[in-house]
Amino acid sequence: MTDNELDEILDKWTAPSVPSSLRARVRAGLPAPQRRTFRWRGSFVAAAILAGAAFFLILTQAFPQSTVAVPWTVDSEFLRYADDGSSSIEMYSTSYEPNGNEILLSRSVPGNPFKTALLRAADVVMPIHMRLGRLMVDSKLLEQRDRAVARGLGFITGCDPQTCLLLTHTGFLKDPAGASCTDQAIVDRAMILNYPTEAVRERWTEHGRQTLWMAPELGCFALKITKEEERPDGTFHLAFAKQALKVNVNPVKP
Amino acid sequence: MDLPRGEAAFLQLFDEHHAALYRFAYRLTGSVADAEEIVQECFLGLLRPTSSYDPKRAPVRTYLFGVVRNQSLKRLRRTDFPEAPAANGQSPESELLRAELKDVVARAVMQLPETQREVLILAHYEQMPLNEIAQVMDLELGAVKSRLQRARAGLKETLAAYATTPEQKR
Repeated sequence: MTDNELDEILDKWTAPSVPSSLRARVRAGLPAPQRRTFRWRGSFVAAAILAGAAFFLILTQAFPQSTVAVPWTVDSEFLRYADDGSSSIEMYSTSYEPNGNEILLSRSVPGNPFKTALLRAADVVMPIHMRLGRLMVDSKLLEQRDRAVARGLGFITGCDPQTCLLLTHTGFLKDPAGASCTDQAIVDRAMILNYPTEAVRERWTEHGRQTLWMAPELGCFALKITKEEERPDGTFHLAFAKQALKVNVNPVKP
Repeated sequence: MDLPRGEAAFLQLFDEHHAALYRFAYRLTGSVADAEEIVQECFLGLLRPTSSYDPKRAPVRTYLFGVVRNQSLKRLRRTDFPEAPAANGQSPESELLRAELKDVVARAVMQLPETQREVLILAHYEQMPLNEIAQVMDLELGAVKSRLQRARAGLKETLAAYATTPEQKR
């Protein structure tokens, strides 16, 4: 048998034609609903992004950053103390205090760019969060809070207490008359970075106390803060300190 | 070639390749029903996230033939042996003889060893180039050639009695 003869015989075996239903079945099996869902999801995400952008635009217009001129800023370091008395720098910050509430302008964590980036991202988000918070708080409660803030010592990120909810970190009350930084007992007086300060001390937890050295010339900004923890024998050891490093007069507007 | 995007493009791909794939599946399994299911699964599987199709490795046609081959062999292993398609038994004598010869050829091909059968079907019935067969079956070109030669030699012996003599042709 030659190759041609074999080919001729093999050609006798013809295959049946493809059933016309096969195309329809394949077409019916195409994941059309999933594709539609995907498109819907894509549209939803795009719409959400647009809505978010529009919302923040409206928000920033409705609650602009403070336009108060910043007469000075203070660069500070935050120190954490171990039980053996050794310390490590936890953070650097730049802040100011226009009306009794410290406002953070920037911060960084030495040797940790990732954490620095996270904190800076938080600094962007927090003012927005706090502005939103004002929208959700009862107006009477907000008035009470604002009155308390005016007499308190606060710590807030990125926006002033007139537009933000305040993060109060001491609860320390100032002298409402304004002649001095406090009507409480002065426990120390010291010159810090050539600014006279007067220190007050108070309990901040059941087993801890904090001391603030406030500079009247700087709107009672605390150029130094220490937090001490009480040992079982009644003595205190330093746990945390915030220390001013430099006062920048008439800085570039933040 | 990347996978087509959109239903129309996908159906165009189906239209281009489904007939050859169907014939291949049918000749491997001997079953119309199996061939339909295999081809359907083959195309729909192409769209699944788990699809292993990589356009950098092989053209889509080669990939599809590979899938049909694998699926057909899986089904064949579940059944003992493929049955040759039955002749449809038409009444005119010539039709009966033609159907009988078709049946004989089908049985002869299906009785080839599996490795030779695949090569013969792709080379003879689908006219696929040997290097593409090598890709579909993941074989060296030399192995494809030798399998094809053995398959044809075996069929020549099996089907020798059915060869048309020069006298018959006249």
